[in-house]
Amino acid sequence: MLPRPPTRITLALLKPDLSANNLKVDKVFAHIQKNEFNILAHKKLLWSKADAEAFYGEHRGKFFFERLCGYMTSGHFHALILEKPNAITDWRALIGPTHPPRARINAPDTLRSLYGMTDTRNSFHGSDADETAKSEIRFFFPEFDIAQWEANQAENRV
Amino acid sequence: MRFILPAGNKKLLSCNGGPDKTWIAAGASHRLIALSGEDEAGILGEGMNHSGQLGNGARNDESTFSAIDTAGMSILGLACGREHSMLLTRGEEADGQESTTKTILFGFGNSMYGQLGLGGSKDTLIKEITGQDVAGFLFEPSPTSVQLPDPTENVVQVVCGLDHTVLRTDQSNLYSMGWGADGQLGLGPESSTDRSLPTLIERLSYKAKGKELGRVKYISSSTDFTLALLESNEVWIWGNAEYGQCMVNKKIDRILEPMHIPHPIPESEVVSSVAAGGTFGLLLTESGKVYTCGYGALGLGPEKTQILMPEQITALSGIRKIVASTDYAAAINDKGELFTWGTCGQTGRLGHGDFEHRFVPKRVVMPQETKGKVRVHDVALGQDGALAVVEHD
Repeated sequence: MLPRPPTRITLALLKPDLSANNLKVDKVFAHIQKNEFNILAHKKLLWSKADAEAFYGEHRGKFFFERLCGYMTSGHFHALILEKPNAITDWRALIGPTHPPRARINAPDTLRSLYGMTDTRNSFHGSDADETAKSEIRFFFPEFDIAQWEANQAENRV
Repeated sequence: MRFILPAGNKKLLSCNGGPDKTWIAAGASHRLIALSGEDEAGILGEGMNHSGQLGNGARNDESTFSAIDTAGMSILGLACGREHSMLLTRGEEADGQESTTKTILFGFGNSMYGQLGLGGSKDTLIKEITGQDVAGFLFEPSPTSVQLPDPTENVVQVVCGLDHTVLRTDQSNLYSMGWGADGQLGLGPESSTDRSLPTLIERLSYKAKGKELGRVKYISSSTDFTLALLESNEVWIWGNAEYGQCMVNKKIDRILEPMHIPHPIPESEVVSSVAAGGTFGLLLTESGKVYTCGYGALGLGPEKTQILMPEQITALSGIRKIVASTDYAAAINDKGELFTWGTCGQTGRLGHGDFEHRFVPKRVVMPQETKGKVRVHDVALGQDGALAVVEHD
């Protein structure tokens, strides 16, 4: 029997503009299911300014820092741990380019094209690498035991 | 103001005021229709009501209908942002007679950035209630009156971007409130913070620095920027311009103080109207030509999606009204024909019966055309859908 491909985890966010519209959130969850992501954890949050500045601290000083924090504190949003072989690249491919107005013309089938609003209100987040995925998951889901999840993965592949 | 629940009051729908007494506005996922007849007046709402943006005193997470009885007040204007709504009405004098000058502005819906101008936002909520930095959700589900700093002034025009509001008064002053991070409020080179009360835009207000420029006669706001047209026919801009919608041959991330656009169109033409979109802006000339500038399905064909100086959309002529929103635009010509162009999305918002983008304006065939002559009077463009006021035989 062939070994199962290694499974990865990523952090996904459905940001406030999207989360304000439950009809669209339902459609996004249908896309997640259709693309065979396994949802390991899911919570709905509302951030304070301090929460946003803690998560986006690396961008402090850039011109978009203020609007990014303003946007992410503008309403409730969904945080998800998604699991799938190549979860990081697959989720980023599904959400599409950073800028929804460009995505609508250049990548019309992506989630940012379909449900994104503007460059600032770009409606989705996905971790960009294994290490950032782990640190972002720790930020949003401190109760999620990444070491235990990795141990289970290793066991399943034997 | 009284509220009728549930929605769908037939009396409101039978308003006899005609197209000049009908106002429409579209937010991201909600739409409002205001009817101002002689005997009855009211507002019908439809769509998402997550922040109470339908104004019926409730909030909920389903798509729904609403009705607000405006109790005989004349309606002067209606505007919707992403999740907020603004209603402008004529006020009453002390003797109960309808005023000739006094207007009353109401706001309802999302107030996280202070865009309703009622004095509350996520920032004030944090400080006033808890004294520390915690998160809260702020909204106003019932129409609530907005106070200007000077009570002798009257709002004559209200426009909304996605998360901000701009007001023009009878004394030719401009006020703004809501999200300011990209300069949406136009309050000056040092100011990009949110405001939860109407705040004077000094650069263009007649009682401040704007006096030397003359009066502002029209404003248009959408998404994250605003265009202002002065009586001198100068065009000014502030807010986000990172796609070159500022019409000065470059992209500017954010314009914090209103900026004059020196030469947007040929000297031989006079700008008669302006329309702010999302990644683009439109100018209408007295001769009925439409110019566009910025990024997107601009109306200039599929090859030309980014320009930094305005170009004429040659597919349009004889235009009398232009309207723009985040992803698409519309124009109405002298014959009452409606044209739309832009990116379509999943809801068919361009009105052509499909989900295709339109890189060149296309005339919208109205369903009433099978019965006779049709004139489109007005159109409102929202992220999920559009509304039109139509007169037909």
